[in-house]
Amino acid sequence: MSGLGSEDRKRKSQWEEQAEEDNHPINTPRQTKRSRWDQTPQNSSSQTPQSTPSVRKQSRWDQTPTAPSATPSAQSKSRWDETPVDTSGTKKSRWDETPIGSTTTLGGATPVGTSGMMTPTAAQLAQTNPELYNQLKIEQDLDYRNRPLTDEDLDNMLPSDGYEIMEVPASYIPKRTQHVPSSTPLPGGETPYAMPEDRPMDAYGVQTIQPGPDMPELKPEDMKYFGGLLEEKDENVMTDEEKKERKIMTLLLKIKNGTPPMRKLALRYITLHARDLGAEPLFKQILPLLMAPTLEDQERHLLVKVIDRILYKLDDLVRPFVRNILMVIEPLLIEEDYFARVEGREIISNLAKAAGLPTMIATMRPNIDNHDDFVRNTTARAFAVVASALGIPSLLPFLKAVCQSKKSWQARHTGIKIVQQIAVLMGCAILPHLRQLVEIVEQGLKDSEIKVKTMTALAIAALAEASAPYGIESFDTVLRPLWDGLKKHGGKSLAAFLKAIGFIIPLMDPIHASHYTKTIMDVVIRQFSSPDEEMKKIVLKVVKQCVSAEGIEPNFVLTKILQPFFASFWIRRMALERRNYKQLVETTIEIGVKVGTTPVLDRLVPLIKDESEPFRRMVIEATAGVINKLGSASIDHRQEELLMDGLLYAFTEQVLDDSPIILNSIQIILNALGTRCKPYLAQIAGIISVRLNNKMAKVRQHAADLINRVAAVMNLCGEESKMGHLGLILYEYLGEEYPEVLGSILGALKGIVTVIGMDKMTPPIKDLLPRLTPILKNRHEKVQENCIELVGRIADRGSSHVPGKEWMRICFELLDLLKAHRKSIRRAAINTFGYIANAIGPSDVLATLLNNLKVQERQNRVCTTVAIAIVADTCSPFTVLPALMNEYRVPELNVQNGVLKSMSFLFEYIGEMGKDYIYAVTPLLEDALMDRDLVHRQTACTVVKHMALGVYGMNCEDALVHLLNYVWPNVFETSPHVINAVMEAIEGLRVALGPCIMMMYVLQGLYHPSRRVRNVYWKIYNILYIGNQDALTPVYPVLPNDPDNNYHRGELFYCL
Amino acid sequence: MAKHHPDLIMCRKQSGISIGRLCDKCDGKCVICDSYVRPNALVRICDECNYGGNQGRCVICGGTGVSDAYYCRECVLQEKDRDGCPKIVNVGSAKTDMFYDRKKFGYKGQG
Repeated sequence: MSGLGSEDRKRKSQWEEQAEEDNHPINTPRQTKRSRWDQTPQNSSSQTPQSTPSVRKQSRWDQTPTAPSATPSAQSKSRWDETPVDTSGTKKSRWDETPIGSTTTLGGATPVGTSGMMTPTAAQLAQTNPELYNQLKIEQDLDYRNRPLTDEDLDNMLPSDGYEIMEVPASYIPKRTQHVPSSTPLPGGETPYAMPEDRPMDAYGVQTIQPGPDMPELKPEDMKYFGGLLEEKDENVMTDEEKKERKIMTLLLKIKNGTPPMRKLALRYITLHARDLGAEPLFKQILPLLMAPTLEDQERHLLVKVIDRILYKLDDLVRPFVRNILMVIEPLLIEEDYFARVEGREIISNLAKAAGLPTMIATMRPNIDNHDDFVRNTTARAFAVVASALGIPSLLPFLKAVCQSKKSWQARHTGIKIVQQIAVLMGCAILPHLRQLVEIVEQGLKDSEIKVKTMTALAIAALAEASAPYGIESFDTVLRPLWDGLKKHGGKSLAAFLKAIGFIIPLMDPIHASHYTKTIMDVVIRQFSSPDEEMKKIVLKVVKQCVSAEGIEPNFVLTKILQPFFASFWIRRMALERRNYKQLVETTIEIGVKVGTTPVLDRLVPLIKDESEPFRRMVIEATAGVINKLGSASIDHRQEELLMDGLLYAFTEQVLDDSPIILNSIQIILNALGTRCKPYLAQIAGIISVRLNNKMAKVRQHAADLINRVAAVMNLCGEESKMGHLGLILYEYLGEEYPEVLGSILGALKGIVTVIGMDKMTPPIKDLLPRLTPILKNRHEKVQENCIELVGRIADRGSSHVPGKEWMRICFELLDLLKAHRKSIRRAAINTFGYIANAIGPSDVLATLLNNLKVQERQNRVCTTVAIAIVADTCSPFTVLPALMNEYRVPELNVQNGVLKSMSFLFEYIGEMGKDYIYAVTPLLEDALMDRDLVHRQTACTVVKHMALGVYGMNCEDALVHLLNYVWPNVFETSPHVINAVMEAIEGLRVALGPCIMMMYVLQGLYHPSRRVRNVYWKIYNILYIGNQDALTPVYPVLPNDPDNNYHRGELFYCL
Repeated sequence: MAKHHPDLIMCRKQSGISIGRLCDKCDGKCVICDSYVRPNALVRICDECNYGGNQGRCVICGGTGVSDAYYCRECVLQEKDRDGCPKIVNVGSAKTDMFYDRKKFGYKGQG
């Protein structure tokens, strides 16, 4: 585990780690590299001079003065690694936090790439992490490209005859520019991957080797693993094992370095043949690759994916490799990236399901009292994942044993941490086992180790958080010890205890909650001024929990908490870090809910005009949050004035950030004030019209955005003339150059049109729309989206204002929009087709769309088919179907498939209206279901499905049975999409026709001699059984009773 | 989404009383078949899928929920609304692959 560049992976919350380190000066020599200053005297005195073996890399400061010559060979560390002489003693400096277990400390705390001090040697390279490695590679490459040209180079570049080499004039003194190479070459130390003399002139890229014709390139760092592929070998002389090994190597290389199609094929092959290739040969190659220090994140992801896929196939064959797999996967659990963590969790849970609980426990048990807390941390997380995969109850006995371990405190610590992680991971799913879990951890509160105590408190906090608002009775036993702990501890452990109590209080009944809150608050308020960030977060959380608990009187909050809370938390520094910021806003809103708007706003509003922008944003967000929750009724006139003044100030001063928070908040507050805004609207409109003319693009954009937000309120206050005026201004700015701003302007116009309606809009729609047509050509997504939405709205509500010719022109523009990447744009465009067809009649629009079915691009065709279906839906199917069916006669695959697809959407959209058309389209579907082309049959099956479900109960069984006869022969298809479509069609028909008819079909093949036939028929039988179990009773064949079972259906027979 | 990405897994535990939500992007879709038409029955999800940080999240993609989720008429007819909680519990390979592809080229946006 330690070989994985653990310095990067080791990301725990800092304070937790600190707590652990601080409290435990006695450490194990194998793992830790501490300076003398960190060690307890007793420890260092027991250390004899000879006892510093070469494995223990100590800094010079570590050695006792009596043995100055000891371990010279061990000093492969860089100077930066050494502990600065720090007389403060117990406090560790950051330099000390070397990754535990790594032998060379190239990474250390000093970033190598930028230090410019060392060119890595091969041995060092093995220790770098991928980012540094890549950075170095790029630097090398740049240096190589920027090197001065030599005479040889020039000779090669220029033809030899016709040119003469001139003598340098004697007076010429070359201007020396100091070229500072970014990495100083070590004497004699060449890097293994870029040896300039080996490079051909034209190979400017990184040196690569290609092992075969359709193989991806081999990077130099891959040589170690894939070098075997380069050896020319005769397939005939190889043993089976060698062949397999080579095959796996090829596949892995394709997956790791290949192009996406290559990768896909290789991945599918390796998944399908995992069992043939064998677990051992596979893992023998995958695992070392995953351990490689130069592995990039994406490559790691791909290899992890391979493991995931083959796990399914190998199943219990993975058992011998569980330990090694865990070793490479566990560090993923504490990665920064959410995706990496999820990936790690998924693999471990699959592994647990494949290997079984005993194997997992046996494999991970040795790690729970590992000395390295990185290992323990990941193990705890892995155990939590196992618990969520296999169920908590199966893990309970093990946890119980671990948490009572007498052997070492580390084991207890890890056990309790597992419980904490289970609670974090599974949330309220722990409720059924809450009592047991609390019982398992509770004696940790009385532990002799302070770290175990802290962890126990954290675990209890997590359990309480997960089980809220239930389960207080399970926590009865721990209340007293927690309470006592509160008085005894300080620092980190106090924070943990506070957290635990803070999370338990909301579970209590009101009387107890109130009592406990009052007692705990003194401690909490004392901690308000704590400089520790983590403590701050916890205190905020506790305040939030306590305030929101039932049974706390508002008066108590008002008198006791409010004043110190605002004094110590509403300061600029809190706005700088995101987590603090969020927590503070949430807590303030919670307090507001308890004590009412006025006291909170009294304190917040004066802060709106603060100088610091992030702080202003935080204030406004909290204000909006409070008003959003409580409404504006209790805001008096004076406060309202101040608030509006502050808001407009904040809006006009907004420079730095792009976040929509201020705009959103303004919208919330204005909406809450409602008609009370009226006096301020003139001012707002003034600000907007001035700022729309600003020369900074961002300012114009914000102004336009604000119009969109305030439109609804303006309408409410009856300020239509103002909005018309703004509309005119916006109309003039449609020539805007910046796409971001143009998008906002269009959005603002849309906002105005929506509230004042098409008829009253200024500029009139007939002027506005022709200006929008050219804007539809704009390629910027924001512009496209807003423009198409505006056009769509006009087409929907005000199509009569514009001549049909203009709409046709827009139709052609819309076809281009179907290419857009963003789905919302395509959907808006498709819907607009429907509106336009509604306005000017379907025939012209339809002709355009049917023509578009001939294009190559799939996405474009699919969108067109949807548009056709929508047109059919809005203008009744009979206007569209004849033309559509006629189009099917075009002997072109794309067009025919397009027609079928349109029909599929059409029947989905029209639903029961389909009963009038089913007989008309049946011949076409017959043809499609008999076609040689798979896609024809697939799409036709989808049509049948939608049709069947649409006409369910409409008495169309005759046509459906007819179609079923055409669908049925396709049940043996193997292509996944086709068989899915066929099964869906059968399921749809099952609903429409009833299970009895289907059963008659199924009975034919249930006992067929061929297994392949039987499999499919039983699968269909299962579908029937799940859907209509009871309805099948009458259709089972009559069977004689046997000694064990009674097959006679008496009740049925006397009804018949 | 689950229809077009077969590697997505639905929770399928017994549904509770919590109402499933959809995000801005998925708004209007049937959670089973992705159909945009004929929403018919309100989606209920299990308590665990509506717990803590998951509260009010999009049933399909995990984004911030803005509207209630529905089963379409066709899925209701086929009784696919009775198969248990339809919340997607894993992150599909399409999403992860895209995240890493972007990361490789130094794109540091929301994945």
